[in-house]
Amino acid sequence: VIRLRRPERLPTSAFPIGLLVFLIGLLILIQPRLLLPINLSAKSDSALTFLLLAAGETLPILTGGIDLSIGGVENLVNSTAATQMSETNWIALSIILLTFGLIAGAINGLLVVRLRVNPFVATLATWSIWSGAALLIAPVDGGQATGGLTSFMRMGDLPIPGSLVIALLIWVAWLWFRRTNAGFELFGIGSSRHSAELSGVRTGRHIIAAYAVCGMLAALAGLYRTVQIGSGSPIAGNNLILPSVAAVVIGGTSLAGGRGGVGMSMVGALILLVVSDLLFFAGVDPFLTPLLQGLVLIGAVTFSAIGERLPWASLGRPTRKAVGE
Amino acid sequence: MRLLLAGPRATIVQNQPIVLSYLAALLLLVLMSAIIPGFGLRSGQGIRSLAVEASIIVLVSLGQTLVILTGGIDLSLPWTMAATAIIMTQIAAGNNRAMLWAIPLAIGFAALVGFGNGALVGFLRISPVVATLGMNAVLTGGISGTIQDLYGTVPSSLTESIRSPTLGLPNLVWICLGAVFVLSVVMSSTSYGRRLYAFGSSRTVALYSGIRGTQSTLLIYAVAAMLNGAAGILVAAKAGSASLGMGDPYLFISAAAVALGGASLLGGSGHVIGTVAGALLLTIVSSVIPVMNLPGGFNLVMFGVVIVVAMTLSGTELGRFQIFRTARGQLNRRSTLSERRGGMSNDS
Repeated sequence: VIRLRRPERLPTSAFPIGLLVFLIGLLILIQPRLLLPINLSAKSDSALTFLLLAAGETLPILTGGIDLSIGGVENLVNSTAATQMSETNWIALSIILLTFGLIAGAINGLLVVRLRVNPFVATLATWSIWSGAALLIAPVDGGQATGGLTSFMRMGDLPIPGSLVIALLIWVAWLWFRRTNAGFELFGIGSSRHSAELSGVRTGRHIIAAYAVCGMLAALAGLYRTVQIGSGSPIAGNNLILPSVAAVVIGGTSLAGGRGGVGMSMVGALILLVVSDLLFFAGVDPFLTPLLQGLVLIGAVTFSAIGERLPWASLGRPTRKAVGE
Repeated sequence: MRLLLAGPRATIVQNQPIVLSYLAALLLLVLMSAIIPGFGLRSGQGIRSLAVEASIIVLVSLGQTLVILTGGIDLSLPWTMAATAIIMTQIAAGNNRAMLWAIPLAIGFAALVGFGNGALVGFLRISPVVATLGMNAVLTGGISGTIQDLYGTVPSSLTESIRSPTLGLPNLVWICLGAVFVLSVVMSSTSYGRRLYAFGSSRTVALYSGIRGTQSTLLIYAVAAMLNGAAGILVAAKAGSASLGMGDPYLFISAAAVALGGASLLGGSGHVIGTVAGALLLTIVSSVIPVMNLPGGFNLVMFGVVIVVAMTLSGTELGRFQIFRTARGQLNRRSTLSERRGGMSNDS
């Protein structure tokens, strides 16, 4: 077995983490009460749906694709869980919905790999299908979360919020996965699918798996939103699709594939959330929030685009020029 | 690389995806008109409403066609439309005479947005998805944060002139047809058009052939944004007013229309004429739902199914009709397959 050197992380991850720490510091300066445990846990709860979507979105993007259907999956799971779930069937229905997410993702993967449909178009189509299905199940916002699912997701007796546990579990799972052979191969596929294929990697399976896991995380996000908001919406997920792509990119994952990671996408998602909190506490018109978030997105990618051209950026890792782009 | 109407050698085979899209749209139209009473070809009113709906989808997809042709995508379309229309209504303030200079000013603003996109993509080599996504967010915040009056009334003369019919069809349809004609001439027989295709097929080859990369990118995104802005004004004029979020439904529809029209999202192939076919398909599918009294969700489901089926057919042997399998058809097929292997394009 060839031991691959793990991807160089420091140059790309330093900027988003530094930015997040700076923004959180600023937020605490403005609003020190946020450090109270009850506020921290409320923040963590409200962030998780978006974090899960951003974490899932990372995987297709790492393979050089994109998944727009996560919003549709989230819509469908959210509205189904809120309207169809009861105290007796919540375990079975949750498992069914998570499996649905996995299958929905696998369908995206199959469309992309086997039928060679462009990922943007393929997942746009499946987004449309799942969103339409969500509207058929629950035409308007409504429903409620069952007690069983709520106490399970909140992890009742634990001293730290359940949402934090879920986020940490996913992060740890990613840290482990990244170092497995499959993890290296995923990065390889993103860098160059052709080379990966020639090196004996079963690229098709990996890409399908990446979309499937992404779909399942979107389903989990839908379940979690049911618990957190306490109702279902057939359209709420649509507003999270492009922001989760933005979160992935702010976290340093390249849309061309082969660079980045799930943990960093969660950092990117947190940056976007902290920016909107900051503006809220600073008393800025909430309408202006997207403006600042957009500037953060453009600023982050500009920074990394310029950073890549600096002379010391090429130390230890291939640059765009060396790769021959 | 396939060019539609590109000189005498262009054939049905070369434009196969586009021809197939039209055949599918025609088939669906005839089928639906036969099944559903009062729909489509059955009545003048049916044809008219289909034409208006299709015109709107075509108008909002024109700019997207240009950008997708170069292997990019413009996700700032919704708010370029809304911002342009809102700026126009704010400046004109319902006054018919003020409109004469409000429209050029608003389109000028759209051009600036496009230059912004082009600069991010061209100078900084940022992926078009990210650059235009960021631009959309900036416009969303900038416009909704600064403009207090959330609804702007379009001057009455514009609304009336767009709605009033000429030769039985509303003027909006004629404007759309005119735009399609002008743009297809531009794409097929001007150097700007050649540049689009060259750029979309292979950036490297285009650069070696003496096409200036950054300059072209700036121009492509600026023209696309101006088209999107104009579409925004027309959509607002048809509705009678401009509003925040008016462009939001059109982002994915425009990409879907372009893709259904046979364009590759990796760039280098496709045409406005194809986009028209894609828009027709989407219009027919979405018009069937209310006529048959089905709930709104069916609309989205049908959209998705149509896109999946169309994309699947055009990607497999089944879709490449046997009758078209001439030597040149083989050549085309091979080149499209190898294009598609590349995965998602990032224009670099």
